[in-house]
Amino acid sequence: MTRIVFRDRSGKPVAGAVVAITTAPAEMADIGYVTDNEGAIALSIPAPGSYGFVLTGANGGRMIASKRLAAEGEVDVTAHAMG
Amino acid sequence: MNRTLKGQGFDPLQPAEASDPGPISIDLPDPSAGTAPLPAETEYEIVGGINQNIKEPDTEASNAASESMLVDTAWEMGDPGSAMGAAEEFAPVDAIFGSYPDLMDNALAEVVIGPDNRVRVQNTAIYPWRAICGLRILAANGARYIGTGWLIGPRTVITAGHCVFLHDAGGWARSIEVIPGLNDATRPFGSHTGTALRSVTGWTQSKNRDHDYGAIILPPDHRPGAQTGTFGFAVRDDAFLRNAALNLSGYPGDKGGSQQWFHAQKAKSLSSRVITYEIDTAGGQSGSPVWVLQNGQRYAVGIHTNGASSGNSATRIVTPVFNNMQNWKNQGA
Repeated sequence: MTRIVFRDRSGKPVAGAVVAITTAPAEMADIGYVTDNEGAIALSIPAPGSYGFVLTGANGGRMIASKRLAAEGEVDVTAHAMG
Repeated sequence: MNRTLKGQGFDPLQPAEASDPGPISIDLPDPSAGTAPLPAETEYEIVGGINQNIKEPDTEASNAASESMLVDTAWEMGDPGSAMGAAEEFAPVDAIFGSYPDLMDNALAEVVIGPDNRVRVQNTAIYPWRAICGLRILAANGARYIGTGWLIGPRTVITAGHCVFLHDAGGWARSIEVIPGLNDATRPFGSHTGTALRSVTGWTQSKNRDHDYGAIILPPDHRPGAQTGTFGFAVRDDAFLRNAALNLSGYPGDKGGSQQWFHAQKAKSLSSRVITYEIDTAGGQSGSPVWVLQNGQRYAVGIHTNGASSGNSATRIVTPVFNNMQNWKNQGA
């Protein structure tokens, strides 16, 4: 499992956001994730590679992020507001 | 690489009267109350086909045992729907990505932009959209997810197996909130929390994609399907499915997970247990119905589960799946 911690540009965790994986190198279950209080989700990575995400906050604000991920470990991912 | 949104335009079929030789296995839809307006979104009439009858034994799985360790299970233990199962089955990416070159600050940002062909369902209070439910899943380990389900009976919700049994999050979900016709903050048919969950051992034990389907049996005093109407479901053969327009509507996470979005396409390929298509989907649409419209009736033929650049896909409703669904429908009658 890979623990992904989403942070905004200021480094603050993006908590309680709905996360959809929009880009992946392999087939994945089409479930949506919700970040915990630390801005994290746990993801089973089917293959190492680049993953893209769209995050939606409780207020409807959206962010995007992308990162190369491996099958294990913890990574910080910076999410960018979509304006 | 675009995992899910294929961006291929759909050439709408002209509505035509279907030729239906009649399926071997079919469960009629119930639009409910006889007041169901016509859908506001475009669906596509299909041509008929013959049926397939696949015999592949499988075993129902239930969380009934673990329910006793969870919450408010008194009614569930007395609920016929909680019977332990030894029963056999017989049977787009947003274009806005391109507006953020800062994401391309390294060579790893692999985002391909393609057209998003999904259409938002504005009025989810009418059938069939109201029979489609947003799911809020609380996993056994406390993690939270979103998905989609659909009503086939008063209190039976069909969804993906991985929405009820999450191998990487403790197994059976602790609870799942079912919200029919969810539309942003509007919940036209309320909210209903289920803890009686169903799947099959092919999913819970083998994690076999071919068996990725399940159900939520809502408490006896929660019967949203009696208000919303329900989907029918049917077994269809390859010839039928190759010619059918497949409709899919659910709650994609890239739209926030509280709006219903619809798209239709023909199948891209078929296997004995999987239907693959280029219908645009995103995370959160797991469990969505994949249905055909025939003679004004809606029959689900698949349960959407996966996204991939090579095609998104559904668990195909074949006879074993049909029989389990019918059993679960009876449990939630």
